[in-house]
Amino acid sequence: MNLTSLTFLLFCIITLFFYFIVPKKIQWYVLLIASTIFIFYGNLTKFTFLEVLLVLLASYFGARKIDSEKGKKRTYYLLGSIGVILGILFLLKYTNLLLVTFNHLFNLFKVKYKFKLITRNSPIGISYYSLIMIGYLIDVYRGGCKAEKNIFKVALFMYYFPIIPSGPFTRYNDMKKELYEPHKFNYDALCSGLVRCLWGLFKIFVISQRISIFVNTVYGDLVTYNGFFTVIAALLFTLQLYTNFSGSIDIIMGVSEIMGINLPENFNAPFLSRTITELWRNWHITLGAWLKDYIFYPLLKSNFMQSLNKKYRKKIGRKKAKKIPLYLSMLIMWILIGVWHGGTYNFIIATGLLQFIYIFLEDVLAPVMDKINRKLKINPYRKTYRLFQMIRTYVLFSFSLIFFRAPSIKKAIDIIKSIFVWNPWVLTDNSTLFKAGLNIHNFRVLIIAIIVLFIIEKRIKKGNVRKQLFRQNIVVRWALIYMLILSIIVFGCYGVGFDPASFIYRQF
Amino acid sequence: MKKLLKSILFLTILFFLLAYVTSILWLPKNSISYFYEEPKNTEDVIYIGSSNVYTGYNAPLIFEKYGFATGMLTTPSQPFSAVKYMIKESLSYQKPKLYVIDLTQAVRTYDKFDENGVRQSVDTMKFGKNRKDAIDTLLKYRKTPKEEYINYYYSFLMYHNSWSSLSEYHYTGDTTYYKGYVFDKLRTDVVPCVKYEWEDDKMDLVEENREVFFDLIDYIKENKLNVLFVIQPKVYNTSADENSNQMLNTIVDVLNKEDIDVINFNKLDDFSLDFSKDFYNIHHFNVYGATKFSLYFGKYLKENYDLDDHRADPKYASWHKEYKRLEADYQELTGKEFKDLVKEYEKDYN
Amino acid sequence: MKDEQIYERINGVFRDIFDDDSITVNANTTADDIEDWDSLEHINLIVAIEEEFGMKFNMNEVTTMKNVGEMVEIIKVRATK
Repeated sequence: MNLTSLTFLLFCIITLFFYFIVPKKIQWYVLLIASTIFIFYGNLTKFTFLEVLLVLLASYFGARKIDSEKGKKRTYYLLGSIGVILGILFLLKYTNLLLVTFNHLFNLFKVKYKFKLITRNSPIGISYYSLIMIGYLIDVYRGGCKAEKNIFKVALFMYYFPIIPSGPFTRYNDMKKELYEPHKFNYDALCSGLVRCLWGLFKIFVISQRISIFVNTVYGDLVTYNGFFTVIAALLFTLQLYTNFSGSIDIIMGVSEIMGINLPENFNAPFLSRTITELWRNWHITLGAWLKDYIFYPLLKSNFMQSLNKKYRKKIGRKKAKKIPLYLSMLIMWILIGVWHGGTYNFIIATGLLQFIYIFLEDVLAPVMDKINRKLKINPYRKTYRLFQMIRTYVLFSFSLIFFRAPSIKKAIDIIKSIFVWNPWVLTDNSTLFKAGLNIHNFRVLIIAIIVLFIIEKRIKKGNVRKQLFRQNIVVRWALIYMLILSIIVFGCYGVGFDPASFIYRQF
Repeated sequence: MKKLLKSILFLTILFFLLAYVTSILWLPKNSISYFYEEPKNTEDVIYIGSSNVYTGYNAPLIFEKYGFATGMLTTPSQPFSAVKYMIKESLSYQKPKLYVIDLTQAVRTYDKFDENGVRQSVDTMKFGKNRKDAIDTLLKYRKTPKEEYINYYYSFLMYHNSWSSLSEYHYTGDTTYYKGYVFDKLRTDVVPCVKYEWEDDKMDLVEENREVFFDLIDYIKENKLNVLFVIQPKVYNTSADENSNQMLNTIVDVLNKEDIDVINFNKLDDFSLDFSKDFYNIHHFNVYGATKFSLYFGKYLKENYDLDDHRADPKYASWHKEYKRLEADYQELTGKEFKDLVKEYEKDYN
Repeated sequence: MKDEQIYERINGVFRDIFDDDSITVNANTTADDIEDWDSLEHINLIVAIEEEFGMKFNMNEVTTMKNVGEMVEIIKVRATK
């Protein structure tokens, strides 16, 4: 079920209706039923049902056992249940990655055999709920939380419907009071949640979908569109991805807010960041937190890494020595982030290796940059310098996303090659640019929408914009909300015919 | 309680805002939009067809001269498969004594119809079963993939994008249609054409056209409708009208056999066009050809069918108004009086 | 061990790790108060404190400690030197 579909709207209305009308004691069962419908909607097969059930059972019984057993047995139960969850995840998502790797190796050693790639339906949200349940098991193991005794509560925690399509990652300790405690209908929460949903729809329909027309046109025909077309497409794609992803999160959070359920924020104006390191602190925050707590910290604190640290301390000094385990752990973590994003190599490059290289260079080159700045008498606290840093970060990130958008590494390299065509007239001859799917009117709307986006993002970073909105007097408040609704309806790119070379009546 | 009232007020205002935006953006206006604003059961004749009709049949002029009101369900390149649904649509609003159906598109093969032809026929129809049936049928003959049907069922999925091409008339509602008859600058052009000589040989219809045509005949007989079919006067030896002449002869045979009225304007002795003056392109009448055709055909209908005269009826005031608007616009465009034009041609037909 | 003693020793570790002699921590100090105390330095800090006091934090504590005060509570119970 697409978050922006009418089906989802209807689904939410029905769910909310029952959620608030049933006795408070069984309120969370409504959520469980709705979530169960949601996760299997249009995707109920023997396989998907079994897969979801297996993950649920593994997490439930694994956690109970970890809680009740002592000593080494706890570790076995932990590894066992994580093994089941990861096994299913890898089987469904990464078999092809493995097969492709083998095929490449065969090719390299001139073995004339090729694995056929498989296609099988996996339950939606599998990469989210798998990690969420692994986190739950580890939390129980570490003593951070108690194992839940009611399996239905575990089920609801595992696939609470709004988070199924695109997160955020949740933790049992934060969620138990949100999910299972009774919530009364709250008018203010309804208004606030609805506004957040609208803002998400604005991001998706007015910005993301509009950009996608341009990006698809350019990337679909690199012979006609290259040079500045490619540059603009690459820069815009970053925004397309962000507005789509964070817009979905806004809808998820908005719906949850109406039900009185608070979820952790997943974005915090990432493009106002000055470094890639900072950007990732504000982009897909809950994924970062998950990886930090369950992979990065344990890795860094492991005896192996610490002994590495000690070993080099004498040779290269303490300052440098502590960087070695750091970089190594970071490399491992970034490759995992890349793998999580998708089961192909271009994802490992886009959201893995390249990000690692950026962050590595930022760290290594920091003293060099300081020196250069001092030499050139650049004040790094000036607004213009900060702006330069933001733009640099945005451009670097956009470059890595070329690999994210392209279906293969080869295609990504084609895209990068096509940048090196010198055609600056595209920007000035006032018609060429508008041939790539978006006419001048659409570009105007897009630019205005992006400006609005940045103004709002800046304000969100400073405080709760929706609270500010609801403090306004009724005329301003309603006018703004009406404008938001109408701009989504009029300027949104939806429907199958959202080809902006729009269809106009002809007369003859 | 206060919150409930507030919500209701909020939604009410939203509703009106949306209704306004929809009226401008979503509901496309075309040659048949006006049809739904006509008072119920006021039309004596309903004319169904394509651009040939709305550029040729001046309903306000005919009302002014002969007193009966004609409703026009005519859209550009209207596929003949739409005719049945146009009749059904009209029956929810009007009880006409006569249906006039233009045959030009009956022989046109279905690969020649474009999206525009389909859309203009169905977009303006009122939501309901008939509209859905019409879309299904029209798209079936156009061989449109099933998954695109939704684009037609919910046409706003496409039309909300028209915000970047809004013109004054979207807001004011002023159109160049006068009760379905279209008149503007283009219709004052004169493109000299060579007179077409009607041929008498015949040719079988293409299978799909046959199917649609006989389906319509069945429908007419079943519902005992009073129908007059018309073959337009125009130039037929063009690529768009390949073999039209011959196939139309086959249709005339069928109609004669079924005892349904048909009139071929290309073969009338007392109706003559000046092909060098009466067209603005080879398919369509200009205002001069249209005036001739309307005066002749209006008189023919008045004389051959029992049609009432409503000119004094205040319920029909809008007809006079539309005629006045046409006269004024004609004068603005040509600098001449429309009355004089009418007088000049009237001599020939009275 | 008295609280003041613990804080004094912790302070030493902080100054050492973050290379900043102006740092003085108290119970309410959090990662937001010290510029370089990010997720990358967090583990180095934890390991250094573990060495200083001859004890171990468990992973749950590493990830959930909110301020220096919580850290000190754990040290009080577990410190061996």
